[in-house]
Amino acid sequence: MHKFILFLKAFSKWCHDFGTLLVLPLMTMIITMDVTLRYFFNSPLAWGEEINGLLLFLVLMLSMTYAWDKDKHIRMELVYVRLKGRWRALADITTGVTGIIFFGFLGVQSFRDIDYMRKTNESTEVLAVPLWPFRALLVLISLVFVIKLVHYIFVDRKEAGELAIERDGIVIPKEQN
Amino acid sequence: MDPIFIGMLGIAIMIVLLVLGVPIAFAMAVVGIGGTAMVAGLPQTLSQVTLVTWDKGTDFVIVCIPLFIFMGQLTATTGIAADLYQFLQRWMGRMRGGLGIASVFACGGFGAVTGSSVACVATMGTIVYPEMKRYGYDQRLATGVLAASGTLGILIPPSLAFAFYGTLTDTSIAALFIAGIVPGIITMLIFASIVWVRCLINPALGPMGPSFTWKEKFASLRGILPIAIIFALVIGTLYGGVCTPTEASAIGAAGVVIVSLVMRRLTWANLRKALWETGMVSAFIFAIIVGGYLISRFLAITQITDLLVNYVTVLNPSKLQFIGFMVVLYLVLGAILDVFGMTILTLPFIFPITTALGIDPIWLGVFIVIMTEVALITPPVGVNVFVMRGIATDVPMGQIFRGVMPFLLGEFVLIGLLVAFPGIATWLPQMMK
Repeated sequence: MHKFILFLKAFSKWCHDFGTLLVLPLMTMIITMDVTLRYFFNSPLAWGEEINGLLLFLVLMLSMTYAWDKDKHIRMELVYVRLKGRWRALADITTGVTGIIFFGFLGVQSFRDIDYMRKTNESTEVLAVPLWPFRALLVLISLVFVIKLVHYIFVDRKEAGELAIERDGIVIPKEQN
Repeated sequence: MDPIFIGMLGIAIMIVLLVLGVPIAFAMAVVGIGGTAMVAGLPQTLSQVTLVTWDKGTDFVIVCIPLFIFMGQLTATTGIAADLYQFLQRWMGRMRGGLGIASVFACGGFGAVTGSSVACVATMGTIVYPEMKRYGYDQRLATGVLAASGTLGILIPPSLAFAFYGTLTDTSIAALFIAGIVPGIITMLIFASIVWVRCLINPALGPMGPSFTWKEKFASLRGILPIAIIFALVIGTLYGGVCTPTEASAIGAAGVVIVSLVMRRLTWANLRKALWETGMVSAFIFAIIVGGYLISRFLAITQITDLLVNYVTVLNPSKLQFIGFMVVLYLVLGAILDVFGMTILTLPFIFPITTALGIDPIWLGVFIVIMTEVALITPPVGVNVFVMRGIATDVPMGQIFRGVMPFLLGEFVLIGLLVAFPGIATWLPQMMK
């Protein structure tokens, strides 16, 4: 089990790396190129907006589980950081359960959509990119998230006082008095 | 069960979840899902969840959020902020409180290339606080002015808070950005005046800084060039109607990459760090957007929103009374929530009511961003104060909060001006092409 969780963490990191180091710069380049072509050569990329929508989806989804690993999903910390023992456990279990419901629903419906999307050959308008692989990604990410949350509930919950406040990559030390 | 009762119950459950510390996105999503399932049935709920995630996750308008984050993250690592501060320090440093005044304008200038107040206070604080300490500045004044001026990062465009508000309310992000310029300049002037007057009354608070020759002063002019270029690229193209906010964000991000390449300050480590942070911040903001939409749709089908709007309409408050109520509401919420949480939790209720009362959505956007600025420096969750505490490790948190107080009053002066003269926020967007 421990090895499997480590594998999932590595998978999340790989997804995040792929999304941020490859897809995000690509998105920036395509839009810049589109604007340049439109204003200087009067020849915009007809597929620019469409492909950027799909790339955005990749960036957001590929970083979703890694953001959880890095404790980035923001919460109201005023009470939470002061909770101890059973109350902290209750808060953490509630967090896990709510997350499982959210991503569980997302994953289940996305899984159900795939078959229909394949049969109807649902695709984008200009480039005719099939959309079912994006739903499949959603299923995968949701599944990974749900497994991580189950593990969080039973094994990985934070101990009281461990939580670090962090915003935009900047660690904010807590008042010690 | 009565839908309105379900709606009320949903709101109560959401508050309990939030107090327990459940991530905001999860709390809103689960209440939205549970409530919609009770009112409209499970099949419709399931499709809502996927539909909202897909629609918003592929929305071209939302592309601007990761790209503005990337632009700000990269700018913070390139040393552009230090150049800007050097320029201002050389020109203003010999005034009483000159370093403090320079830090206000430096934060404003840096805010013009980054959309995050935390990035602003962290970057400028690291550069300016040691200087102020060296020249014997009062600790309260030094930390207070930096923590407060950092809030300019979300008011002066490009601003993540405006992009977030615009996405949730379908208000023009370009118009919101432009609307932030005049209030941003007024805030800078108010903050600079506070430093100047305080140092005039008590010169010991802000001694004079170092002196520079005219040659050195003019040489430092180069320091503002990168920021001027990036600002012109983003805001110039937006104001001129050349680009949409999404396009401007990409051009701005590409601009920062090119400028830092030309300045030979772009390293693989900097770029990687900026991209990494962008992915994570974008992911959590997106999760909040999805959660926000789910709860908004739930509240809409329970007709709670309509009920609330009707209730307020029957009460028939004046605009001023309602604005007064919003000031109190955001002061309370700002004490416990951060920028995104505060905005997402209140908009489903506040936006329809203000629309019914005839309050301009652009004006409301500026008002909410100013209130989030206030929240960033008020206890107990004054995030900017926490960041400043991390930089000024020799100054206790209480001292920083006390140092921020005069600037907090300055923020209220700004709110007063905004209420008395709404044109402060709405005039410039009306001039846009």
